[in-house]
Amino acid sequence: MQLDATVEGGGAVSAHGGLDSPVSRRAALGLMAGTALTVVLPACGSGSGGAAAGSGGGGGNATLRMVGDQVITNLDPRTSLGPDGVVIRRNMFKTITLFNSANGDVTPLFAAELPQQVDATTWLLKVAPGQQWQDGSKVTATDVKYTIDWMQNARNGSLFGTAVLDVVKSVEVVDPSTVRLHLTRSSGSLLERLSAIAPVPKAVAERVGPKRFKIQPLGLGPFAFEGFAADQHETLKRWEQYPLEPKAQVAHADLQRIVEGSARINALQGGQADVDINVDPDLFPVVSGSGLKGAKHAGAGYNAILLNTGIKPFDDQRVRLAVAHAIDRDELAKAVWNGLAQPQVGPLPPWHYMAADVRAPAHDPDKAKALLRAAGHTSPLEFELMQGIYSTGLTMATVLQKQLEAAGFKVRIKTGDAEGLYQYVFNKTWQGFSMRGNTSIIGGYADLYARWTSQAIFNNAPASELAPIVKGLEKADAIPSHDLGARKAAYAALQQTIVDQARIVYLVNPSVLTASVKSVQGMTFGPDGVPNTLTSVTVAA
Amino acid sequence: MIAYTARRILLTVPTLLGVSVISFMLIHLAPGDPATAILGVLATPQMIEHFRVAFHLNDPLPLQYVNWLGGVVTGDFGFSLVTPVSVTSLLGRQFLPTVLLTGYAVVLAVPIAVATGVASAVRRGKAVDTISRAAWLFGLSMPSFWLGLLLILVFGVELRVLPVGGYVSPAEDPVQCLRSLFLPALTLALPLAAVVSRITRATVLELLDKDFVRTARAKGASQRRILWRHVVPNAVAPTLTTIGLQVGYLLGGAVLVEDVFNIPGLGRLLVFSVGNRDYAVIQGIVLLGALSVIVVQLIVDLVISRFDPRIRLR
Repeated sequence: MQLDATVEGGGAVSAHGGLDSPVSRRAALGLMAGTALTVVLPACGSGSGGAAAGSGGGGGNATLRMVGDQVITNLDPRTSLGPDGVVIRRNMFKTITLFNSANGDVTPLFAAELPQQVDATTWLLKVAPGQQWQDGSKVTATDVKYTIDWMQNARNGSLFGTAVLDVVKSVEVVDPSTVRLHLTRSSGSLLERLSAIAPVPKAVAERVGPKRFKIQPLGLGPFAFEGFAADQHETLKRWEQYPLEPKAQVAHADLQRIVEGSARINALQGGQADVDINVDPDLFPVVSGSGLKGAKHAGAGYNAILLNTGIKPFDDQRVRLAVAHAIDRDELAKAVWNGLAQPQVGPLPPWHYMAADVRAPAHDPDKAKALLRAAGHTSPLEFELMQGIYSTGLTMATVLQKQLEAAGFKVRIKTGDAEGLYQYVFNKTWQGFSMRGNTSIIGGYADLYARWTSQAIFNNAPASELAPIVKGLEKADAIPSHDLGARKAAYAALQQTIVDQARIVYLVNPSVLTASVKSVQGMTFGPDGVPNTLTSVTVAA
Repeated sequence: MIAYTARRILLTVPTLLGVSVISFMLIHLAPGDPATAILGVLATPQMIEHFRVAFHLNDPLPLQYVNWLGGVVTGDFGFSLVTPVSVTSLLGRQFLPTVLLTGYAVVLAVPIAVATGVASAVRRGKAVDTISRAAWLFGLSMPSFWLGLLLILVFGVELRVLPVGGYVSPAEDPVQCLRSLFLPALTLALPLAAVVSRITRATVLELLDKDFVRTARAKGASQRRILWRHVVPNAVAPTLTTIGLQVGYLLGGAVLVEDVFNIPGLGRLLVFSVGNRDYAVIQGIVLLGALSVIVVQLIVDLVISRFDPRIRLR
């Protein structure tokens, strides 16, 4: 006889006692077997797989898979400021000239020859023959005029227009392959500036509109657009109908964003990527020990402390110089970048062909304290230093705090993401800001670097105080490009003034660190730390 | 049940409304301006102003909210400020990887958790129990970031049996999809399994002391029958409830895992959008996340009511 079991709560009782179990033993065993399969099945299959297309058979069918941490959002060469846009600019488009900021050489690229100066404010530019857009249409001077006019229109949000093309008053089409540039004033750096300008096809850009062009551009280079996913990857394919030489040797080039530095190295080690275009300094020692090729390149990035010179205490130059004397750049380079950075005392990177040997405040905490006393600060001078959160940011803040406090300051660190901190800069309530930057992507010419320093937004100084630098910049830029001696002397004087005023205390110029698998050959990097044109790159099988 | 379900669905609306208002306020309270975040520090005041006007960022906040809500009601979540892509398409593209990842984590975690929880309770004080509890402690205390990197090193780099990261869509290759998501899902599953296992153990232990179990034993039922026929069915409700609650944490925990494993999911999109003050995308993700949690809770409640007739849905 079977007794009915009582069930807690007075629920339904089955004739066999207890609740009818919805999960029979057989079902439970089946469930576990299914789970085991789910666990085992993924481990089967070929190799380590990967999301991106593999290197394939190597040689001409290979895919070059690059990874980096910068965002990938904008492929329009007229507006994009990141490596995403630079890779596009160098492989899908051509800038008017090519500028080597390490030695000052300028060569024609989009242009048939270097633009010719007609008079102080007039230049002639000829489009190189034989070029065509990837839809088969001819490249003409109208495309050049359209591009420059578009970039100069503030509504289009192109920083190139305001920063690089500010000296261009108008562009005139002379004939289908020639434009005349009319400048607002003489500019010795015009040829260097034009290395940031890549013309786009007028007909296509107008037809699709800027929003579409930003995510699906059409160019004329050895590579054509293949795919894009915001914040994830951009993919180019070799343009088989490219009429000129050299042609691309890989079939595809993919730039993928992987935020985590260690995840990027893992991707190389696991066979899912070929090149990491920006290795974190603390991971660089790992690279060589793991069968990868590590390389150090010059970079145009910098770290600096911005000082709000419009309010106390940094309206006093003595206090600013005290900050400059507090800094030990060698210690910073060692502690934050494992020695993979070099001191930078002025606005130009130390390897730049216009970088001058300036007299910079030496690391001298006692001198810093004396300056503070002279400025009336007998006890530690307290101020707030903002610091962005990025891979080296927090270490940087710690080291800076220590150095400044040894020199008579008391530092409160305020961290946040850079965009949030900029808000304080724009509403002028900040005191000090430890930031990193890289203006080379919009043009690595000396004028731009130096002008950045004099922008009031970054130091909050009244226009009257900045006027000497602004005037000095205009004078230096007006010197003809062929008068190299005079240009160098003028920029040297400006750099000394900038360093003496200490509105921005430059700290270091980090090297760009890259890692690649051994099958990748022929990859080179520009002084901005971004890969050069990829036509010479090969990926062995 | 239908009336109950309908009521719960209707209650979703004010809940989502409340979530949207709070998230809208919090996003706009954070310092930072999308114009400067996106255009950069070299942007001129004129460019910034053009940007703000174009995207209605100068409108009063209540007006911005009402305009946004009006769009949402008609299925238009607006456009990303950073890339000219609709929020709907962004969410659509990146929701699936997160759902797959989270679902995969649950599928991996639950059987392991239930099995170990039951075994641990039945063999209380024995080696199985000790080892299980040590394993839970490990699973709960390991940061997902670290655990993920460890799994990558072992299985992706050293043994090379699984991908180190990335995502393959199931439509493209279902097997590679499973492979690419296994390690990240396991990273999420281990802490989940630890929590669920503990709850299961505690519930089973409590049930083993109940009168109805004693009665079943007295009637001569075998231990196996007692366990599978009487105890485990009664343990389903608390276990399912715990899983439902953990789904919300899973969605949040996926952010770090997506970064480590380079999965283009909602978590990663959220981090990117917050950094760029891409308000429309942030709002969309928050709403979608809230809706997901609500839906999961509803499903859990409905499933529990089917399993346990003592629970009457009202």
